[in-house]
Amino acid sequence: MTQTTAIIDIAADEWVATCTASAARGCDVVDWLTAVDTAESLFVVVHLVDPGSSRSEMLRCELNSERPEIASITSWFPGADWHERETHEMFGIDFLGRSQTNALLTRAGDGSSPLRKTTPLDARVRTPWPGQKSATGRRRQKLPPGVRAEWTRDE
Amino acid sequence: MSDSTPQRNVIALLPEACTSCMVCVRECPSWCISVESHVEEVSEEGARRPRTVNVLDEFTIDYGLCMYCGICIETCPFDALAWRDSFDYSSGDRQGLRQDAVDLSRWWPTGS
Repeated sequence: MTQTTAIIDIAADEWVATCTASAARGCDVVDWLTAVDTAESLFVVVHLVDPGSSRSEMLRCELNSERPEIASITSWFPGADWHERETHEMFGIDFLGRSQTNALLTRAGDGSSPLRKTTPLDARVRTPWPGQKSATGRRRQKLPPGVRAEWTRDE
Repeated sequence: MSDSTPQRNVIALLPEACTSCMVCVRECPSWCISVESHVEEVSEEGARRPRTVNVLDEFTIDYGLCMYCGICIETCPFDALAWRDSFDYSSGDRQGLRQDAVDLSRWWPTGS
């Protein structure tokens, strides 16, 4: 059986207070924390669970996609450490008030955020897309899914 | 899932059902399917003008790239693709994992 948890949208300055309030209600374990880039907006999302029951709370906060930053919750939830580290590396979100960490998977100092929609997908730009052709042999102008027109112009 | 539902082991092709519409090729997240086709005109008696049909020339799945998500099977509008139970098609080299229309249609009847 799947159980849906309502998403609670909160402001960045209430992030820590709302998370600790959830913990006070029993949801004191970080199941996961990640970010969602919808191209229009950037969100950070955390799923807090109550291990004693099936209850959980999902908190979401919209960030400034140009300079994404939010307070770290690792002081209250040590289990968030790994997730914040990964989210910082993959989405370029700065978690304030925690020790900075080395990159796990990307090259250090690269500065790219692989899971942001604005990051060019190099392999997808360079590899010929098998879906480009149509049955009639005419080349379609359509780009492969996820590839933006501006990435292909400077090739 | 009943016991008769095939596992996600190999994708079988029914070339007669394929219209070369390219839906599977474009939906495939790992770009492992390629389709070659051409257009032919078919004259039918009583028809005002000949009908154009797509004719499938080649259909290839690269199992070295395939991630067995099944999106091609889900999206195929003509049920030309289906899961089959066979799994013994390993290969010693990279090219051996590319299966063409003949290879893929061989899985269709029984899956063995």
